[in-house]
Amino acid sequence: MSKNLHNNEQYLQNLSNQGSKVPPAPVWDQIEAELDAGSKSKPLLPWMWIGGLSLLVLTSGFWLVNNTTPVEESVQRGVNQALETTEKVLSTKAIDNNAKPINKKETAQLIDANLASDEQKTQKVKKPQQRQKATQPIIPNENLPKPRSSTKAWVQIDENNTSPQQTDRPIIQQAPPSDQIFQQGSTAIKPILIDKDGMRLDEKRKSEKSNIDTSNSDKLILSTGGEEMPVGLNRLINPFSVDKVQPNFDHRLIPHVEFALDNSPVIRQVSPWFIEASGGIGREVASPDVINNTLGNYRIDTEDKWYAWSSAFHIGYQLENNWYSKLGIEVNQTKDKFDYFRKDVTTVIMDSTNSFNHQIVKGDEWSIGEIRYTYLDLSLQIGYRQALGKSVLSMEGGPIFNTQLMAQGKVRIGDREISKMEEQDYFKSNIGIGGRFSVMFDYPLNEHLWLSFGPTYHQYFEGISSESNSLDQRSAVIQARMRLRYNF
Amino acid sequence: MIRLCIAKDRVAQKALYEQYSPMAYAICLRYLSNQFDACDCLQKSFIKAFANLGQVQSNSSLAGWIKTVTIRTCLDHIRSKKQLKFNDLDHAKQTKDESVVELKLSDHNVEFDELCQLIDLMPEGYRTVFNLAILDEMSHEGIAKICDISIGTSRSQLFKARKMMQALIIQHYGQLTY
Repeated sequence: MSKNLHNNEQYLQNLSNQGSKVPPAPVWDQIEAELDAGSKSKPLLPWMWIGGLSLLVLTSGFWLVNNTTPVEESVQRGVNQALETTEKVLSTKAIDNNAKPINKKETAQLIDANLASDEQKTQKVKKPQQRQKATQPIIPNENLPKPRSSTKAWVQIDENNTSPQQTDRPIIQQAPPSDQIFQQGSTAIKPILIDKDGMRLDEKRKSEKSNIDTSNSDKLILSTGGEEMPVGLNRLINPFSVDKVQPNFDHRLIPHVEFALDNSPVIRQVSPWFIEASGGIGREVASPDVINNTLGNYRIDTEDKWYAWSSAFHIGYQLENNWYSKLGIEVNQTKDKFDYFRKDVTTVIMDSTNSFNHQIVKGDEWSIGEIRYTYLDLSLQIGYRQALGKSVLSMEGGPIFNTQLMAQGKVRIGDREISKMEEQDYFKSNIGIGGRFSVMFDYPLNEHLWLSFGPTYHQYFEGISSESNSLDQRSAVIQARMRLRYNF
Repeated sequence: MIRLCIAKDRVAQKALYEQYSPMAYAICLRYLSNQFDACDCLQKSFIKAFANLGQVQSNSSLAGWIKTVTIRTCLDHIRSKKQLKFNDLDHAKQTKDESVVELKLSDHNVEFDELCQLIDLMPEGYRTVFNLAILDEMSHEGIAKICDISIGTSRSQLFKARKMMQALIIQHYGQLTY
């Protein structure tokens, strides 16, 4: 018997090796069409769109935040122009070694007199945007007169001529000379914006009350002019260097423009540790490679977009620089409703009691069913929170590991009704891998609770094992999510 | 010809297709249960082959390489449709050697189409392992790796597949002898 079996198999093998079958002609046409299509530029993948969109949102958010500084464009232009002019003059001009420091009181009186006499000339300088009342005046010296209006005054002082010169453009004050500074050949150029109450605008921002802690917001300032010195002088250093600004009453009339990198205030948290619970609902889009078949007629009239909903729990830690990471689990459910058609299929219905009683059924086969898949995702996310006024924009992303927990539903294949999904391999317990990205807007409810809304995008890739993939029919999920974050 | 195909010369690609597609289509028909799926897989196989033709060292190894690409594409196709299931239920356990009538296929001038029909009658798991092990002479280690199953499962599936094939042969050709 075994010899005979072996001979038969050898015969089948030879037959198989010699076997050749000319394929139908349309196959080459299809190949040719696909080769032609392949040479054209491929459409962007969904995750590339999402990536681009996230980048756009990130850039827009950053731009918006960095442009909240109330500096009028005309003032900025004028100041920059004045800075350039002054730098040029100072770099070429010999400094008089006999120059003496100007008396602070005298300077103030001169400035005040000029302010009163020639206010019209200063009207071109626009009024800085009004803010809340400041908490700390930066002019402690009561001898100095207060500004009489909200109009900014710009005064230029030359060390050789102590009377201030009024000009019709934003004026840079060269700070009162100091022997020490002059000996170094440096000078003071630093515009500062001051409102009618004599408050520095950068100081005023600190007084805003919110969960956004701006106490350290002046740590990094991109200065246009130079570093302010405690004596009221500015040492000319590399423009656009990163400086620390120190309050100084001598700068009352010195226009100062900050291109702020100081607008990334630390988002105040009671504790760096937090937990999150979230839920989402959306759609799952199956891979077209799985759904469509150019030659076979299977899986027609099938919903290729499935409803998907999920709930998640995360625990995380936020650093002081607003970066955070979190780890958690997410339970996803999707519902697949299908109407599956196969042509010329051969099915063997086995008889377990007698192998000769197999029923062999040939013909077209309909599969109709509705299956609810439940998946478990383990996600590691890294994110960044950017303050937007009193709310916060959170951007996060990271890998997810995924497995199928269960598959429930009913399927009818021909006359057979199947309730155990394992019988048709609808259930698999393999591990898959993917990515998760989301952009959320967080609103503080109180110091502990944040409520967030935003879109989330899951992209599922191949299973970890290239030979088995439980995720081949669930490639991407887009959801609208709501999230509650609790800071301990 | 390989160089021309890599350079996307359509005439050369068609010539290569015409030379090797009968062999590849025969493989697809053996692995898949219907000709629509077979055509689909043949198409995918050649798309893959044209895209990766640079891996082929010489003309002599081209046939074997296309065969491998085709087999892998067929297996991927079966998996994507979630058809591939290795059932450990012993359907053939009641088949006893003494009940099997000895029969030589070589006496019956069996053709390739009939071979495909016989293979089609087997369940997907049996058919896949039978194709890989008997007709394509792949080792159990290779089958285990390519099908993501254990070597033991591969052996048991092959055992059952051979039993079933023998039974099917007798069922189809036995009457002719007796």
